Amino acid sequence: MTLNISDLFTPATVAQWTNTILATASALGLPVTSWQSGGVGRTILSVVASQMAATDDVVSTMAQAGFLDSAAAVTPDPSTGGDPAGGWLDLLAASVYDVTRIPATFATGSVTITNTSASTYGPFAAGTYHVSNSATKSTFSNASVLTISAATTTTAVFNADVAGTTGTSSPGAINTPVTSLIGTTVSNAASLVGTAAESNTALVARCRLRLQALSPNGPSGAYQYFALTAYDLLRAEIPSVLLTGGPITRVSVSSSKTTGTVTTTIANVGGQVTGITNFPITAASTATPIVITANGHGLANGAVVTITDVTGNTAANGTWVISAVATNTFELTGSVGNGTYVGGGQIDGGDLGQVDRVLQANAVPSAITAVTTSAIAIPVTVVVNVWVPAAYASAVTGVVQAALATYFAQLPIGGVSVNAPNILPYNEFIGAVFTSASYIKQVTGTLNSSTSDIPLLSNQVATINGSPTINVFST
Amino acid sequence: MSALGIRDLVQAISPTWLAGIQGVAAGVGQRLLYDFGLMSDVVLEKLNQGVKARMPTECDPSALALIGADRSIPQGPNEPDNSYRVRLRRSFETWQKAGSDQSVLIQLLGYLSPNTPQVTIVNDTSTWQTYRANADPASAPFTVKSNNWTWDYRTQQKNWWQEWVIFYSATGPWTNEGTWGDGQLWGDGGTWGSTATEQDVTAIRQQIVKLWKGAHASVQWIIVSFDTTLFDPAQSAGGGVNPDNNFGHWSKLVSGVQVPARFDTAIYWDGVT
Repeated sequence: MTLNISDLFTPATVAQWTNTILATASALGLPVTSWQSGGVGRTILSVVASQMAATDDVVSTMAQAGFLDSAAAVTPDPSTGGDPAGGWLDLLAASVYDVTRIPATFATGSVTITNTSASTYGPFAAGTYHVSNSATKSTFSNASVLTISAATTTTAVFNADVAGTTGTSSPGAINTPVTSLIGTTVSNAASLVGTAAESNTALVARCRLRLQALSPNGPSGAYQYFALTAYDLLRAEIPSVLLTGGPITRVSVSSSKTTGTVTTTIANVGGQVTGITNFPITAASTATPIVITANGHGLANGAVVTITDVTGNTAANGTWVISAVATNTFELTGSVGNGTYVGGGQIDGGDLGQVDRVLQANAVPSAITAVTTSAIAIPVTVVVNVWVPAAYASAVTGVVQAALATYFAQLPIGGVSVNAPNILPYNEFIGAVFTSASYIKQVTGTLNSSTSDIPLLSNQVATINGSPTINVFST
Repeated sequence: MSALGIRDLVQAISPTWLAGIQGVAAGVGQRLLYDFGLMSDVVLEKLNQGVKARMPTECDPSALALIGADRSIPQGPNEPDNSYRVRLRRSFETWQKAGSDQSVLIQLLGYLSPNTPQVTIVNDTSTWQTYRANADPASAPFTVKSNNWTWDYRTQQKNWWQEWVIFYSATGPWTNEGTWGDGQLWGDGGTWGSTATEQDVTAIRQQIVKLWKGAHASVQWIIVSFDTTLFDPAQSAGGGVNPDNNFGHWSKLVSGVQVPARFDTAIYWDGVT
């Protein structure tokens, strides 16, 4: 006799085991009705029943661990506080699908320190000067040696001390020097964005997409899989390439009926993925380092570029970190020219270019034209009013900020279709805030000063415009 | 593989004073140990079946849907478990062919088994790939390269990535439900014009064609023909057998009168891009 899958997944309780053991004992002719509660027979039986129930629980969990959805159910989700090492789902994903969970990333970005005193502070070794976000209480440390000169402003790169979304900070939210120095204040002009570990739901979906990625014929799932996995694949390259905006979290694949061209639209946790693809080169100097000319390239210092098809000065071909960026030129750090530029060459640069490189190498069949584009970020002005008991008034701002960041980071490209296609649904947004903490009693708010859904196009992704306004009312 | 037999083990390793002499009724201690050993055997058997549950050829039928979900291969509404088990067992190999027309056809055959109709994919350059009724999907599809597929003059571009899926359903799996105005009702469980269910159409469009076709491929229409003489790769364009370059619009003008442009013994489901 085989057991039904729901029987396999459901462990019997201690009481059920007790009853089964008693019934069997009775069938074996033992005088179970005369055994007193607390007596030797009953006590031994109770101990064995508890032991069987505990074993049954483990066995049922192991049975559930064999399937993606049920394995997810028995694996505490690392994206919401579960063990970062994962659990059964991670074992199944790795061993059957060769898919590993994308880990949480540290929020990283520039913080400006204003020193109005006459003292110079430092140098501080990397990781020894600390600032914090007063709302979320998350702390950040300097990424490299830092000296804060007297009566100046100093801007330096800081990393969150803890990986994940807790480090995500809107402009101006990093406002407190933890390393207390007289006459100093801190602030961040741009957002710092950390990403949570890949959720169980996302990992399950990526495992299923992995099957389509087994094919060299370009099913749409292959494009989705390699875009979502690009962060890991690039990180594993030698030298390692880091997507500065974090992993790609959302993908949409479409094709043109008239041209057959496949378009993969991608978004990261911040929405827009910066960079260029197949951008033409007009010159590559025979110098050390090589200076590339590509009019209006739009890249920034530190971006990673992959250059292909340059003839003449072929040393330019390869993957490089760029520096000395000007409007139309940049240097390839560490390069040495090897000839006179003859012609040709294109750039895959920045996060967008690097993801495109992964897709072209892994997902796109020969004879197929495929392009990679970023979703267009649509900033939405967010205002939230929350009512909480007075005891939670100070804590709720950070909680709501985190919930909003998570909600907007997960909105699909093109929004969702609830009451209408392609919208940022107002009610879902309110619900995301309301469910962020059990002590929140009431939530109201607006999106772009309205209580209506926000319409989106199929290649647009909604983002928070600046910092959300969060008004807290005590009940 | 049988259970480990803990209760037998207990019997074997128990001293005589506990186990009793063969043929003589066991004592209380032995019967208790037998009871506990039996419970252990139950749990071990559950473990045994729990491991097998993830194996498509070994599992209880109730686990097939879970394996199918994990391998993105749905079971057809009438597909026998045994043939579905084989499809699941071959799934990793099958997925390596995803994105090809052949893989779409094979999945359609599987979904519609056990009595599969003839199924064809024809593209805009008149390449017809066909599995005949009840064909063995392990074989290659029958392929004809012709010059007879002329869907519509308004959109005709002869692009190989534009495709049509054709079911030849003269003897099932679906039948024609009559014509407009014949008095039949909506909501009879079928879809407009045929006995195909909404579940059939959704599965075929979203879980098979969309998933298994190449991302670049654009399936223009999914056609169910109830007349075996229609859509014939061996015949010329038009001629009342194949599309006549006017199928893009529901009607065409003949002698100053608008008449149906497409064959009315076939139905046409929206394609998938």
